[in-house]
Amino acid sequence: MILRPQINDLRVIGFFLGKIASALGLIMLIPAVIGVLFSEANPAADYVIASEICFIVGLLLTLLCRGQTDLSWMQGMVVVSLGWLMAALLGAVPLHLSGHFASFLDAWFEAMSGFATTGLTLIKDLDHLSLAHNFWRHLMIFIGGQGIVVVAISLFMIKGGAGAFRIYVGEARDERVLPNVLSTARFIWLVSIVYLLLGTLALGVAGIVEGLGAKRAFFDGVCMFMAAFDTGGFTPRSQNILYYHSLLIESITMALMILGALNFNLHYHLWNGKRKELFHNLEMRVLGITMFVIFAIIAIDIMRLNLYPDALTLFRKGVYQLISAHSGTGYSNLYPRQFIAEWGNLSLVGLIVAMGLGGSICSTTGGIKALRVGIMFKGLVQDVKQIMLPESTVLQQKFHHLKEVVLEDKYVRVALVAVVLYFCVYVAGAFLGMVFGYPFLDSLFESTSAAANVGLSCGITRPAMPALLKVAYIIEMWAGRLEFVSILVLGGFLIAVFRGKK
Amino acid sequence: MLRKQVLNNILGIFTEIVFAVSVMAIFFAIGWLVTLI
Repeated sequence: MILRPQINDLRVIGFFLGKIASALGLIMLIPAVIGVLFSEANPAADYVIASEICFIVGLLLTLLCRGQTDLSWMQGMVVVSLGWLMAALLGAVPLHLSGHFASFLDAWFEAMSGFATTGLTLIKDLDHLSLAHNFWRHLMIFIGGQGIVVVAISLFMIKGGAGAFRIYVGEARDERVLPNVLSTARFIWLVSIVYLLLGTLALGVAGIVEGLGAKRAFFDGVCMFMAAFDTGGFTPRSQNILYYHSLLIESITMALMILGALNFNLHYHLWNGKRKELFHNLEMRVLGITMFVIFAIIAIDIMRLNLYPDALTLFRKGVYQLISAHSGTGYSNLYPRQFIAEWGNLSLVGLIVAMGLGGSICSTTGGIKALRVGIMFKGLVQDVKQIMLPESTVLQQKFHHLKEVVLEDKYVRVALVAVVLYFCVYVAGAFLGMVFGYPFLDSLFESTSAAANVGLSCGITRPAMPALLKVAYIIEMWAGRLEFVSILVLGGFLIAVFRGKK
Repeated sequence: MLRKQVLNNILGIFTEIVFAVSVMAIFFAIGWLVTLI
């Protein structure tokens, strides 16, 4: 029996959505300041307008729904799922005002792609986009990577109690780095800010070395850092990383993508002297194995086709796409159609598997995640061992993830459910693509890229694509980023509103 | 105490950067071996 939500539930949900809208309004003042600094009056005005809309929505919701402030699990999940939809809608307002999008739907797609750290883009004439708008596209990735709710918690929202933990979990972060959610949010910010400084410096200097002016080099540097470390995939230039034709920039972004794919908990352990964790962690081992197996598949196919005959080109093209796909970033130094026109089916399937698997849990990557694959494999090994041993034997399988953990059935079940859900969404998106006339492999590539929040494209994602497919990809990016649970709870909530018992 | 924490953090960052560069170097080496075959 499902109980119909009470008016108090709606008030609590509305109150927290209002806080998220206000936080977004505050953040939108950053691109407004960038616009003022770079003498871009119209874009600055776009952000002032959008910021005002956020504040109005935020104030209305918080004033109308003022009341109890702690959240139940159901309320927390609904806040997260609706909060992300609302953030993408509000984030799309300045993008739509820029005039670089064919419709508001395209701007919403871009905003969801940014917040979900996907990187698929529908922008037109990117090379003539103002710096303020370009900065906002990348800032959305940075905020989405930290988690919109984590950002709101950090800014002014709540004290980090049980309610904060519930929305933190709803945002697809299974683990707390520190006992308190607020401290966890602060540590995630610390890691991101430290690497923001280091990464921007490295990419800025690399840009100058490659011949960009200092201002543009550091602007591109900070944008590329936000998209690489938070595994987003937007770039300030229309040809993605290919624009720079630079081994130096490719190497730095590759390193940032690898760092971005690491679990924030692992960062915490490494930053506190537990460096052996890097090699003992089940997640890292699985990530290493899957990366090397997929690289072997791609390398064999590429060599068979004689695409990149020397080691350096194989590294710059083959390894770059692999790390970009596996880390869920979506940076590419190939033209989108090259995947289909040049790469063989075997390497394409390899990339699709890499995208589908993703990086670590509690990181900014999307997809199934290495720990879940490891847990499923351990579960399988346990089952096989149990069959081979006498029936009376009690087998206890362990795995190392930050500490020694006894493998329980519930871990395997949770991992399996996530894998099945991701798989269903990848395939459903592929079928929808086929309905619109795209070949199966192309459709599966694009659908996996959207649902696993990667951002690599084989050419389907463009302004002229069918509107229904755009909506489907928006839903895939949203559901994939939140790892389904909060979306399913939202579905249950809506059913309960209409069919629940009083 | 704070000094030790900062030192640990710096060593942690250094370890992570070395790790990322090592992964890239290993991939380059494997790629190079594949091109020899």
